[in-house]
Amino acid sequence: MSSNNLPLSRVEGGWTIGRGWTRKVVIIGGVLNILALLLIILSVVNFTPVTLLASVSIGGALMGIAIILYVIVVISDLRRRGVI
Amino acid sequence: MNPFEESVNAVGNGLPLVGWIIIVLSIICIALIIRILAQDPKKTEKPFGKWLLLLIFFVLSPMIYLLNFSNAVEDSKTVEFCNSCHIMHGYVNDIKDPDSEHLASLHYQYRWIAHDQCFNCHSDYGLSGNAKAKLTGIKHVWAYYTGFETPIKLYETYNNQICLNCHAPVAAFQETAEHEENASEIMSSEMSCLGADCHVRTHPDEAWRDQ
Repeated sequence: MSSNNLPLSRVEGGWTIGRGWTRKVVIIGGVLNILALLLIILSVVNFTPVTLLASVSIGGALMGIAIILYVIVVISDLRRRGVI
Repeated sequence: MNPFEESVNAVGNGLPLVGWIIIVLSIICIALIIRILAQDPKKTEKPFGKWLLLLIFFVLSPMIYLLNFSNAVEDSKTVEFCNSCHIMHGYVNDIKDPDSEHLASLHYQYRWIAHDQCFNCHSDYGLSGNAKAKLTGIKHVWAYYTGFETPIKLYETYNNQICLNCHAPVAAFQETAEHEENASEIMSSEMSCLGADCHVRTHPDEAWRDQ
């Protein structure tokens, strides 16, 4: 397995996501964000206690995970470039 | 429905402007995410794609979430929202019944409380009161889907301050002998405004059966 295919690789300054994994992580984050936005749209169109709770709790959690994933990608990218 | 009531209800009908803003922004974000992620990975790695994703993930999406949250908090105060749970049908039918003489119905019929009557009587005043009412609402929904005990009842003793916020400054309230005699007990909620020999029958006892 080449180092590009490993989820994590070591660079100067710490760990980063392997190059091949960066895009996968961004796609996962994007899909989670889309799901969260769809839940929000559903709660606006069909405003009931269940859709409201789903959009605020599940939607919020998905969006939070998406943001964390993108932060990881940004930090990895900056580390790989030696910025941080 | 009375034409006057219809005209008032018509004002709040349809999707509010903020609802449309949330939908349009969400669709734009979804379209942009799909567009960026579906294109050639080499193009995705260009600074423009990265900055656009950064904007969507960190600014637009959280903004949409917060807009939806504040909109939802406000809209979930309405009587219609409370009535969207089956268990509430009996209670809401009663407050809208012109022949009903229950305390909640009189407050609704005479518009002693102008709007959001359920929420106003079932939430403490202040910011923590609103948050507490919402958490209790979540508890109710959870109880509804995991099985609840009937007849439904309040989780804790009714807080007299909710009544007093409107009634305490009224001269007729202050001059009533029973209120004067038990002023400290009423204000500390040691003696409830509801039940005993005071203000009985807030809702029909069997309202929960009418689902």
